[in-house]
Amino acid sequence: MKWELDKNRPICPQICEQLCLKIVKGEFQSNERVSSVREVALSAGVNPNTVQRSFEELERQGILYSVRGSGWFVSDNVDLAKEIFENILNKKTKEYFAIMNTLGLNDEEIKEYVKEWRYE
Amino acid sequence: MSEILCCKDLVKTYGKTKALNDVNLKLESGKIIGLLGPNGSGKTTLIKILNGLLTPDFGTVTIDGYNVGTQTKKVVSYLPDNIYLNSWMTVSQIVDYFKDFYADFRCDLAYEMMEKLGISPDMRLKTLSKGNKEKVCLILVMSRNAKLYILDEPIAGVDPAARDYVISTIINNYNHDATVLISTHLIADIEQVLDEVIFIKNGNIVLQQTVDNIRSEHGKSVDELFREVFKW
Amino acid sequence: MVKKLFKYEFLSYFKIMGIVYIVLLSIAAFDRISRFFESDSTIYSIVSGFSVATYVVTLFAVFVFSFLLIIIRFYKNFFTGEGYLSFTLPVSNTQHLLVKILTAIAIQILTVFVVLLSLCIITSGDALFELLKAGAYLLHKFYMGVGFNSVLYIFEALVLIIASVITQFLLYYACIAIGQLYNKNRILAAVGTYFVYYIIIQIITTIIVVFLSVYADNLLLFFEPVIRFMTEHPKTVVHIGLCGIILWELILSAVFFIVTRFILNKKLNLE
Repeated sequence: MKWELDKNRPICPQICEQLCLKIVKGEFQSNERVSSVREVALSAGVNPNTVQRSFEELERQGILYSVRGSGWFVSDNVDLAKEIFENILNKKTKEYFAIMNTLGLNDEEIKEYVKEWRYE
Repeated sequence: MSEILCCKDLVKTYGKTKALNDVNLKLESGKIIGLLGPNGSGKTTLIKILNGLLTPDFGTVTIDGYNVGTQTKKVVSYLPDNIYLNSWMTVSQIVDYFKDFYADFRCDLAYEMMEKLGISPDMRLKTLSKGNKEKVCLILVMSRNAKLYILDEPIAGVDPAARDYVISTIINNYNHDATVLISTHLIADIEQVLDEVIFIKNGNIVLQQTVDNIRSEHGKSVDELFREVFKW
Repeated sequence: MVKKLFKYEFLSYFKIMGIVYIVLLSIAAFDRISRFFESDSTIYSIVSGFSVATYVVTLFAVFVFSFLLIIIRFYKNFFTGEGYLSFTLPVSNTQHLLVKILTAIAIQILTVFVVLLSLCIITSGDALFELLKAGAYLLHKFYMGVGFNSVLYIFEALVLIIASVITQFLLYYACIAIGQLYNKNRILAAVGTYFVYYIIIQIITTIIVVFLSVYADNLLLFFEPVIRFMTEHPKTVVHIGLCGIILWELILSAVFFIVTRFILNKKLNLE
């Protein structure tokens, strides 16, 4: 499992986001067991307590559920994860537009720019 | 969360230099905590006091409710910043040594971890490479079922692969009731593993905060904040 | 815990002393066996001369080794890197120190026994028999002379020897510990401490001797009853003398022990 973590943001929400992303991408299916807290901690190189908190947060949001003794599972409602993921995309795009606006481009110009843009 | 460590008004001077200047500190159990500060900030002095290797001039330390002594040494697992093992011993002899003196030592776990590194029980410690000796020390310390692990500069002067080994060994053997206190001046490498950080500067605790709080409050990594706090 | 401390303490000594003991006993055995082939040949005289010389050198080495090892063990186990492990074991410093000194004495006694054993091996049967007979005769004479007191004298003398060995080693321990109070050249400081102690003792003894000789007449008068008692009960006086010295050694031991323990408890500062 690969994890892209930003050093300047709290770790806990990032783990939540990335898990949602993995669910949306289909790496984890409904009612499938996700990796244990320790496995996630090891692969991401982060504190097991933080992973635990992330899992608990996702449980609170209804994305994961825990079964005593056998670990953590993805809930039936995968749409919830999608929703959260959409929110993140929405937020990030808004931020991007806001930055580009300050550089003097209006929304149409930004869209045009993105369409034309090639990663160099 | 219960309190595992409490330092009150700790003062330690060497001649005229103040190594610790009125340190007050409380650590909860169940956390991985970084003790961060540049060289000479008082990290090692504090750690030696916690292990009974130095006596403070003033102040008290309680670990798991006891003053530093035989009782606390039973529950503290300490990795000094230098290699301290009797070099004439074989690996199995040093394992026996730990098993004999520490009731919480898990022999099978130690052998299992050493086997993964290709270190066999009949090897003599002095024939091991420096890197492997350091790993053996870490394995011995982490094979204990301690309440407080104190690791003094476990990643200083090791290559990136060894550093990853140290970090994964800590994560792998960490149990949720124990507290791990890691001192280091190399923060970027280790901050993701930490629940909480303590900044120590010229013998004073200048900050004790959770990593996520630092990141959300300051919008920057602990490493960056550290560089600001300790700017020359 | 104390049992386990003893175990590792003895193990660390036997690692070296075991070899030294075996070498000594082997050389003694070799010399003894070579004597069965006694002849006038040059080869025999060279071999026998060589083996006796080696034996004497080894005998000397055994004592030096066990002496040095005891001091080095104390220093290494407590004040070098090993100290980080020793002092984080769940063991009190009093226990540490007791185990160190008791093991040291045990090793010294064992060394004496091994040396005696080697002497028995190297001495030919008849000579050994004669030697034992002479010893027994002397003991018998001694017993006839002073009666049951002789048993007590011998016992007291043995206790005195052991007590003074304990005092000696505790003195070295205390000196090494005091050396640790310095920031640099700690070994040199330990040696320095020993010499300072030695000089102070010399000065004190000299003062006492001078004092006694100057005031001899007055003192004689003052201690007249004591002297009368001494001439009337010479046997008791020897007991008092021996026990007095033993007591003195024990007091010194206690002082050195307390000093060393204080430094380990309060002033420890490993490099």
